[in-house]
Amino acid sequence: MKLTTIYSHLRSDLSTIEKDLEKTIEAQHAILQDASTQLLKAGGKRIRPVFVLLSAQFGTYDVDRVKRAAVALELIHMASLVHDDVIDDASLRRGKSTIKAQWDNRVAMYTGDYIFARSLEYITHLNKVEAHNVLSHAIVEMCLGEIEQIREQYDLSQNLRDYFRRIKRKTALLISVSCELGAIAGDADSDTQLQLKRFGYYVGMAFQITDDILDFTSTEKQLGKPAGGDLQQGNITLPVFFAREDEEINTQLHALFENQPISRLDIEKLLHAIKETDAINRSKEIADRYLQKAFIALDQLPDNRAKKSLRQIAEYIGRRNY
Amino acid sequence: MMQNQEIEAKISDLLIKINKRLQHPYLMRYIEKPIIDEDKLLLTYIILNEKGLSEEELDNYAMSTMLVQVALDTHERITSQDLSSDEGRKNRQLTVLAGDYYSSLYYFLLSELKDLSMIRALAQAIQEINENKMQFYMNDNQSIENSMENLHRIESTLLLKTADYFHLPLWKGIADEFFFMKRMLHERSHVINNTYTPLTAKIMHHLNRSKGNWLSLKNQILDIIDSYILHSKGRLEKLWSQEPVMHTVLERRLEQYIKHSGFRMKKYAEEG
Repeated sequence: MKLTTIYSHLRSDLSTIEKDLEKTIEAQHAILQDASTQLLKAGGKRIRPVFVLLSAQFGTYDVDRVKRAAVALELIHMASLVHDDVIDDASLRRGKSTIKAQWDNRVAMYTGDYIFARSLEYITHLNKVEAHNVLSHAIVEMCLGEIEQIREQYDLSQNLRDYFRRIKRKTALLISVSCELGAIAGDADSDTQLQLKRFGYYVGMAFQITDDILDFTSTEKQLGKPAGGDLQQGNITLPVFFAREDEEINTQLHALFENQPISRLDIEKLLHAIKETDAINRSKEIADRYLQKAFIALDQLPDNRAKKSLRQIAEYIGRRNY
Repeated sequence: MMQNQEIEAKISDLLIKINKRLQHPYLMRYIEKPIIDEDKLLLTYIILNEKGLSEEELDNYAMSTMLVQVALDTHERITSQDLSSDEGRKNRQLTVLAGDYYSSLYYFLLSELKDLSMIRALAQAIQEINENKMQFYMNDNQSIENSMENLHRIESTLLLKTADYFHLPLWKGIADEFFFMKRMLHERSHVINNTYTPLTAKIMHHLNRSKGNWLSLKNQILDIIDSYILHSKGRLEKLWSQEPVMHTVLERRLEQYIKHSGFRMKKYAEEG
């Protein structure tokens, strides 16, 4: 089943979200408008808005209120991608030219700041202080997480705990917040908010681990960028932690990190060696454990259509190939 | 009424608090030290002080406003040049993240204050500033007048929104002219020191002069900048007459900038 099929019953509300996304990023300056629209048109799964909408259905669902969180979270995610491309010096995203590549870093900085500010303005119309406490705290954490990620690049002394903390801040937090804000915007009770927050966190962890696995197992065509990009940038992900138990691979990795910049050929050799180990399968098992925890959180919630969809999305994330 | 010494002590106290917020040991190792615009802090303080806020509220509002300014200024340092060294790359990466981090702190602080309207006001300021930055940097054929209007907005919108939010229209006008004039005096110093800035490039483009006698071109650029300085000075004097006490500390600061820039009021008085 395709992801869009799972939440096809949200089509009408997602269309409202899409329209508001477009309206919200309207800018006076043509380049600012083009840059923001280009990002929007590049699509993406809109997974965060979907989590918000579904979570809100455990309370009193009102799309006009709930969309405040859904649209804002997608915009915050978009703004962070624009700045990430400057950080990574990336010219391609989802197979398309990035804003920094099409214009320059300055335009990317202004666009990211503009979109972030638009998202904050938009969400202030959600008149729930609690939601802003949760979201603002999460954004601070996400920024700190990105700083940590730079600090930990090429650092082979880091441990698994560092990795899990990193992916929590990088991905799981925003998905967790999407679920929690949906529940808050829908006036769900505090226990429901907590279970949805947990569900989002576990799904987010599984999602990022799967992403990290796909960086090894997918093709350039599927990823929209060359495989092994994480390793090339010195980001040590779960499969690498497991593969390093093999002494030869560990030695190879040390040699590689000590002789930067790393060539494509060396990366491909290492990717091949890592795939020969059990690292990918062990990583998949960890992702699956997170998914099981997500299902346990979901089991605490009343049965409804939203619960079924959340479960299906979690399952989809667990078995996606790219 | 507050004495100057009291104001200075409060500004020093706020500077310490803001600097504490900006400190992040790893960031500080790699990025340039963030600079807090003390004039903007002073004006923010003057505005907030008129509203009879509690000390905690005043501190958090002032810190939030200044965090936004520091975040914008930090991102202004991002260039597009190719970087070959690891150090240079890391500096750029962390400068992007530092700006994002400071920006997130403003939202966090105002959420703590439960003030959604102020979050909105500052978010609108950020949008307007970035729109104007785009217009200023990406439109080569723009008139000098429009470029100057962009600079007005870039320099003062944050304070304008704050003054607006606290219903202090007089301080809106003062902020608008003060920060524009400060920028012009800064631009003037660059011209005197023969340093190109985006504004001098725009003026040269408008004068249709890219080559030729630099001295005569320099004088033409200075004349244009000086005419804007003079205009702002006149407007500020009118606004200051409506606010006889608190503006004096700003006026003194402006005099320092005028002195440093080499701008001579007398010359214009004689010519006028």
